[in-house]
Amino acid sequence: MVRVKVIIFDPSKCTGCRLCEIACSVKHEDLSSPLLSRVKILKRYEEIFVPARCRQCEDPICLVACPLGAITGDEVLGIIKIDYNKCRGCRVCVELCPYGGIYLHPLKRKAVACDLCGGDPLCVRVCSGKALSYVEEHDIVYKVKREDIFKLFQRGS
Amino acid sequence: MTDFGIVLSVDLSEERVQIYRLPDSVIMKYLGGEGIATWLYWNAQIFGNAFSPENVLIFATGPLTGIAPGAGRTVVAGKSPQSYPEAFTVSNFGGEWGSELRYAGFDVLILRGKAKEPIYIWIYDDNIEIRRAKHLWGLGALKTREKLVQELNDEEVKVIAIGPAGEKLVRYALIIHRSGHAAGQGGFGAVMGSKNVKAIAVRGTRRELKACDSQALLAEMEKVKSMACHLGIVAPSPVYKAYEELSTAPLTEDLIPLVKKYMKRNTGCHGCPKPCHVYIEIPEMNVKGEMACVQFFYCWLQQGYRGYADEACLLAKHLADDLGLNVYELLQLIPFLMTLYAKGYMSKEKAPGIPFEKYPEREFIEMLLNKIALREGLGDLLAEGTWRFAEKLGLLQQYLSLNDIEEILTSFWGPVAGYGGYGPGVRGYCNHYDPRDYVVSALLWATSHRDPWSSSHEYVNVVHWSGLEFEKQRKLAKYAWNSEEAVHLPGSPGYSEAEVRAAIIVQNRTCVKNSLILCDWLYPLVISPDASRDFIGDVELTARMVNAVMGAKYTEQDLQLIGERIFNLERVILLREGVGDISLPEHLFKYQQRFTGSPPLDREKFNRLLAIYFEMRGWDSKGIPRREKLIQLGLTDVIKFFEEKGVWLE
Repeated sequence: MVRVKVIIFDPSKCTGCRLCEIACSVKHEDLSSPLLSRVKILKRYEEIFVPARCRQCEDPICLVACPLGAITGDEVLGIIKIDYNKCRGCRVCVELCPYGGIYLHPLKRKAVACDLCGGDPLCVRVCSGKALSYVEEHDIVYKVKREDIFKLFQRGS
Repeated sequence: MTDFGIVLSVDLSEERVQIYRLPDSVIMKYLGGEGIATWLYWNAQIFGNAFSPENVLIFATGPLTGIAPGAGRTVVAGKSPQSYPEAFTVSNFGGEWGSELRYAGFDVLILRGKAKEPIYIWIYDDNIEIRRAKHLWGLGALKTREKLVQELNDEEVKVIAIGPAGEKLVRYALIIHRSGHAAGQGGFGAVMGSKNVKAIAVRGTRRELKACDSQALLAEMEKVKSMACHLGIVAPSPVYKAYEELSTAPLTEDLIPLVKKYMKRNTGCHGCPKPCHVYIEIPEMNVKGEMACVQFFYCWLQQGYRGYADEACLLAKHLADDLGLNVYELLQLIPFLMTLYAKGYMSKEKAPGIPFEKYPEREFIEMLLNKIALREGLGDLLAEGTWRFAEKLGLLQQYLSLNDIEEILTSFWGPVAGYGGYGPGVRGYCNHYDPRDYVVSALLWATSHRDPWSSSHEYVNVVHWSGLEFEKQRKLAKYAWNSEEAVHLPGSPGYSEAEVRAAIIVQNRTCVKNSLILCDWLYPLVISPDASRDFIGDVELTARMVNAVMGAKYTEQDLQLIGERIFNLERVILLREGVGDISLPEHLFKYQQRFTGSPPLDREKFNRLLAIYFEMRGWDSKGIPRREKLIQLGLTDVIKFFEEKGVWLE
């Protein structure tokens, strides 16, 4: 059985503070800019907040589509890796990713995506509302959703 | 070195834009935010009134804005129409506008002159446009934001706007960003209105903000997240339960069900590790928006008057935001108006259209706020603010001095009635953290150019909100303000040197905080939730974070010196404007605080305390900074000004 840890998001807990963006950008670039962050919070006023981020796809379209073979999979972390010797900034991956999870670095002009900070994602650590969490895949059901699922069925009992 | 210091100066009369960089030496001396705004205002030499085109409206971010945790704020400064008399002051607001301005490439925005017709300013990176705003004029501030988001076709645009109150020059009109994020105090919405500026929209994608030591910055970021707590609430207290359950402060328990019913989630400012707002939706009332603290003003008035609050109090906040009214002023204006009504000074004939008998229901507040914002009927007088309103009715003495007014205010309209008060010198009611409860508050009120407490919570966090027992408070006082004697139980002031020192440290730190700019509810970290270390926080963290971002080597002492410099320059500006009077309203020396039972201030002891304060500040007996102090602070141009005016006569 494959065991992967993934970042998941709970929109009801996001406060829209974007500290994840700041932390990600500062950590990876020594600079703060939302455009440099691997996670980007999109807002519809204060009503809806959603993150654009790498979904850690099983069969990533970016990997399949890259004509130069610059994108490979990291089996251990369950995330993609980008080879900057091969990437030429053609944006095929950017165009095809439906989640806005990969983008062209505005300064380096190469494709960039989440690297899970090597297995200890900083965005999760700084998230004040615990909207972002980094969990074992199976725990999405067994832990994260547990209470909600109980609630669903309590009415019937 | 820091990348902070790019100024965008817009001359509205000439429709001309100028961009320049502040010298590093100025940044090192004043940091940013309040410090830079004060320095700019000092140099701008404003002598006209608040609504004259000559007045400047300064929006200043800080070197930490957009890069550090809890630093999403922007300072607004200029000559304030709300102050009595009109004088320099500062205000600030949270949200995301300041960060966006920095990402667009600007740290400070100055508006000068007056546009010929209603306009809005559209800043898209280095593309700056002055656009006609006839179609926005008259709209609510929140509606204006929606319109601009549509018009500019970008949901990530950050907008600040004024409502009808700002357009009609209501003296306490606010500038609002997102609902619930406003520069309320100061009446700068009216200054913006007087310049015919309806809104300023910003989208920034151009600049990356530099962290000189990103490792250190990230370490402090996580530390802040683990230590920060709103208002220092760490132990059970009357507001503890709301803090625990709703992550907002400071609400009493009985408001929890009402808020919970309509709350969707918590929200916060840019980069906040501890967001404090609740996002509320009431579709049937068309209410949508964020709320915290004083925005619950009508809830408090309702509770004080009849014991419970209802949906109307959430609507009241929404209306105040949209119309563009500062609720702090309403918190003293409404009880005063109702007191006049109760005493027969005010009647339905004198104030047609205001349904006094419906207080504190929805009909009353809806009608009242609309009348004020549009300056209709009595609203025209009420729009002048409580002080000027009382003065125009010939009731100023009654407002401030009569015993029964205070009795009615506190016993009839509730404990927070009369909160607020504004401006240098004798300035209204002054009972936001009543000076009779804490003598440090008396010192702050007497020597500040605005309601001091909205951005100086570090002291009241310990004595008022933390919920910690007195012995623990004393330990914190020793840690934060050098002496256990800096805190006393409410109503039993020590009139001690320690309290004076605490007041000065608090003022200096406030100036620093508002210059960086850090959130007042989180910083400085005087208190931590860690019981094992006696709840002692980490006040040095501010300096470490500044150093990590700016690549500087400040110590906490260095920062306090900068704070002292800013505070002294503000003092000098007040002296220049002829409003340097240092005093407190009479009722504080005559009557006990009816709600807390604290005795009146002892005038003799208080005057002695002020003398100590002047001495410690390096001021003469009239409260004028001495030459040596100005030299020590490097305020050489002030010395020149004082010499020319012959200020030092002793």
